[in-house]
Amino acid sequence: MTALATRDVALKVGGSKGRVVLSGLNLSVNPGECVAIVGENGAGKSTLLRALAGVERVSQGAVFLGNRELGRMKARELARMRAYLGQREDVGFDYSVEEVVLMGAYARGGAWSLGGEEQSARVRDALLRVELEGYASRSVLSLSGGELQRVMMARVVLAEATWWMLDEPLVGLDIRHQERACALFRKHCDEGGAVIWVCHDLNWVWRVCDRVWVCDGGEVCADGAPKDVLTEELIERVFGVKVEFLTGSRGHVIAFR
Amino acid sequence: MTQLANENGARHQRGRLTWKYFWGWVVCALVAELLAASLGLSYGSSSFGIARIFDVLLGGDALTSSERMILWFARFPRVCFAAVVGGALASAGVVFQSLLRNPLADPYILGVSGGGALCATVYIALGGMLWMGVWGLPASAMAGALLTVVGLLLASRWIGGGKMGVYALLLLGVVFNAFASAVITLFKAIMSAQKAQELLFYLMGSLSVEGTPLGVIAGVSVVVLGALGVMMYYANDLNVLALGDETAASLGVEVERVRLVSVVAASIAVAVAVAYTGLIGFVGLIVPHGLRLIVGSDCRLLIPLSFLFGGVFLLLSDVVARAGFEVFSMTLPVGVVTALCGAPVFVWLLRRSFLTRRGIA
Repeated sequence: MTALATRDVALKVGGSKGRVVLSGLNLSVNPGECVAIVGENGAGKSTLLRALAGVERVSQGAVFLGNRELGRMKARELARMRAYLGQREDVGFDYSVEEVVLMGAYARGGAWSLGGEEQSARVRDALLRVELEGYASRSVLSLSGGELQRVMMARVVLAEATWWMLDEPLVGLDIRHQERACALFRKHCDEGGAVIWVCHDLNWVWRVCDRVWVCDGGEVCADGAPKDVLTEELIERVFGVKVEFLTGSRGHVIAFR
Repeated sequence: MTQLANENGARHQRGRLTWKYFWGWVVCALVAELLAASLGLSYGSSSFGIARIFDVLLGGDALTSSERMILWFARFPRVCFAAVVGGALASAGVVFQSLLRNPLADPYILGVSGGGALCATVYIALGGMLWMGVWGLPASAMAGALLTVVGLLLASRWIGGGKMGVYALLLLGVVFNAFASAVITLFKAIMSAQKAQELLFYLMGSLSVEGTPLGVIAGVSVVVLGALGVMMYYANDLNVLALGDETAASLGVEVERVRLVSVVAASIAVAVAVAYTGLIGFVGLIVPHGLRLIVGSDCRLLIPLSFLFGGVFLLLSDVVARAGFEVFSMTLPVGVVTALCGAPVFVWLLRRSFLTRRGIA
């Protein structure tokens, strides 16, 4: 099975002369796993995600997919294996929802293969998964923030990639759609895919993820199952807030103390 | 609000581009171009009437030999240039807008045309000192436009990407245009009255290309069509760039290469165009924007349609410039007409696009 792994990776922000945000990273993810990256603002979560997605160069070390280095793979080849959702993406011009979703399959088709009914069916299916059926011919400029986020999620679904790398995919979503999105991640992992995502809501991390990486103090200071890692002490140390776990019939909820 | 939402919904009934939609529009545009071109051929200080033009084009002999001379030596080059130059400016506008993710980008505003004008001015001012003959003016204008593009590319590398980079680039364009016009005014002040007149005509954008050899027309057309081919080759990449550089790269677009090649292609098209006709503004803004409102933003359709309707727009503007001012027995520079109808239309488009964004978001 092809795993994604980092070898002695260090990451900088602000170009090659910038400051190092994370270093000494030796992480690995296998297909079937759902991994959350958590940490304070500015801890380097997005930078780490971008490096794993191959959209940002690492300043030291290397990221491998199987035995191949990400930096040496062709952009199109990589795009067929992993889908990336950036933070607060927007669309520069007045495209329709269907057109934006189809951009997810850029690496799979020819530039001028204007597909027929089969392609429309795939878009409809992807939109159905994010509960946006009937939106295909709407303008993306007419959507609310949460709707646009779900369009971008449909784009990720349409890419048919094994690896999903998502930067705060729940931003702007109401709780029902947060729940739907998390169910989608879980299903993707159960079907042999992998999801690595940046998340600020520790309750979702607790419920959905197999593992969690905590970025703090310039390193990934904890890597393990949420129930082992996300202790009251760790949350207080990393985020500086006091919390307690409330136990109900269906599991824990993290609450302020 | 409701009305806007409905309007918006209706505009997007198509969802995405299909071949049927593509060819339907391209055929419409070709017919429009043909009609505008025959109007341009038949209209002028002596009118022929469209029917007789079609007769001649089909091999008939409806015109006298002197009328034929006017047709082939005076009007034909003019009409060809209008079609090609309008097309080059409008399709390059689409490319610049997509690359910068900014609807305000066009060759004129980025200073590409201004750079050409600057070098042309220097050439006219130095006049006989250079030994380039008929090629001097177009060659120096082209060099100026291309140098400006190189400068823009270097500046964008130095500024870096992102939203700020785009604003900085547009601002640089504005500043450069102001600088160029200052230098041009300086030269105008110190050159002879006759040269100043020549310069003024060039700067206002004129299609007075009567007597241009067919070889030159063919050469310019081939270069512009080649550039159009390159732009269309990258059309789908330009679509994906609407999501931003980083996302586009993650989807498999080779951003740097697409950016470089399409900028160079668009700039060559613009440079060749401004070399012979001077500064014709607004074509690269109005035509793509008008089309976006009607057919959507897919560059695969927008680039060829902008090319064709850009030609139509300039052909019709030229007819207005020639026929509308016949009573004064003069021909306006076509740039005056494009700016006169362009500026109000642009304000209207701007208002409309703001309303659309605000009305629904």
